[in-house]
Amino acid sequence: MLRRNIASPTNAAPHVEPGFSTRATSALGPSALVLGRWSGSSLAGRGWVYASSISYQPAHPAFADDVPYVLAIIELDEGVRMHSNVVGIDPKEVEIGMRVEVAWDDVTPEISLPKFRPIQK
Amino acid sequence: MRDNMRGAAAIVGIGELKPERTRPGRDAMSLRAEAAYLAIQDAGLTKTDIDGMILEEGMTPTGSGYNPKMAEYMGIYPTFATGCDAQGAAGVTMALQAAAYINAGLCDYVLCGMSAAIDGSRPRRPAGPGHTETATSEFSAPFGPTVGANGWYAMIAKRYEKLYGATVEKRAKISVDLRYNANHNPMAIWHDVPITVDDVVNSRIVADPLHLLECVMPCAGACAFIVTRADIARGMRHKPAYVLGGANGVSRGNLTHVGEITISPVGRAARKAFAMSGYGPSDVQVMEIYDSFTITVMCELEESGFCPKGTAGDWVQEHDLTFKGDKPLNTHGGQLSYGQASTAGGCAQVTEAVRQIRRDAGEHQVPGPTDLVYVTGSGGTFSQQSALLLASGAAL
Repeated sequence: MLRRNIASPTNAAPHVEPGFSTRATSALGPSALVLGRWSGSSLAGRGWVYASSISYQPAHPAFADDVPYVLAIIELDEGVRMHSNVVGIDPKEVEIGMRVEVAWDDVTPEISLPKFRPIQK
Repeated sequence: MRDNMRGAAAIVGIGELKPERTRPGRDAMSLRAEAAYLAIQDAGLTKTDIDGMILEEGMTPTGSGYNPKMAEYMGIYPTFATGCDAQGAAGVTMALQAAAYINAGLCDYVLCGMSAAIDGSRPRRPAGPGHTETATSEFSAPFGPTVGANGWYAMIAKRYEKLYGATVEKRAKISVDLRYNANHNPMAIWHDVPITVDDVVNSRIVADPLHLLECVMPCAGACAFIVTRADIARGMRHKPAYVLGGANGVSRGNLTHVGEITISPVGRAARKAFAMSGYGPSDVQVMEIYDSFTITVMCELEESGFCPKGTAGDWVQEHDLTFKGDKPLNTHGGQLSYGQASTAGGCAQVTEAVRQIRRDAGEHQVPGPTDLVYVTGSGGTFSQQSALLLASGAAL
């Protein structure tokens, strides 16, 4: 499971395919962590909302009390994108491009999920 | 580019079961076998003729060795049988696989098909995190799984809105025109229910910004078709639907790994498919565009070259997408209104193309020429998409 110290992937070369995506940024993403490419440096935990939606239907009973919740892709300032939730804000107020910072959710004593909240101006 | 596959194979038999919300007491194997036999009969063949098989497991995972199990179940002895892992793009991809196998001389009559069973007597299994450690279970599911693919495509739609401005008011036209087509197809699950733009806009939001009537719903059903060599096809009972060109575009399994999520990989597939066929987007007479959601259609129209990026919202307003219209699209009703029996939903867009080329679609037959039909498939979260050009002998 996810731990508090998420290492950033090394060789995070931009994923650019000629003629396919000219706006590609670094999108190596979390599976680089699965593959064991560690740089040892920690991510700062700040980024922006790349994409978002509001889930009104829980697909699993464990999330029944959470709806509606914001499902989002967060692009961290280090260039990595990850799935997460945006919390601490009315779901309808979440906008693409919004600056966010990590808001750890300690779901069990062993497991903490990196969720994100808007950075207060 | 090698184009020796162009026109070398044709679809000569089709079979499908009407999508239903449930089919109590029916399992996926029996549904698939029934559609397969319909396709074999439609081609004027018997099961002993079938020497190639591409069957997809769909919603009933039974472990590996699935094609031998289906061969045993159906009493068929293929000399070449494989699966297909193209998710929603499986229908189109199987047609290309079959054409390639035939062109390579591996087999002569390839049975392709898939099905989905929903037994209403059993409670539906909740979609939850898997037990194996994958990128999805580790890095996506903990933040809330979505119903079907709703959440993922909602993110694509939301970002599309942000970049290009087209919202549900424009996307709704796709649902409405496709429903009109379904209202003229007795096989469609929504045959008897017309809808308006207001109905779509006012339907409940399932995953913001996508509304209920912009999303497919789970159905039970099955779809199959038979592919053979062009020279054999010419002597068979139906007008052949030739495979003129096609390709896959594979992107990324997870949306987090895609450069720009509103750009779908069918563009690469389409460019290759059109080049192989010798035709371009403006030559296409009928479109069967994979429609898991309204936003899926919009991105595919743009990437396939029918309109510039960001303009599909206006394009669908400017054109009549019904089977009687200037740009006939998803003439059977699309998966949105014909029904999506899992991966068989994409397969039904292939069989509908064949029907239009044969000109035996009945009430929803396109009145204008139907010699060149463009079909797409889409799997995962724009993870893999396929493009296929099917043609009558007149467009060879």
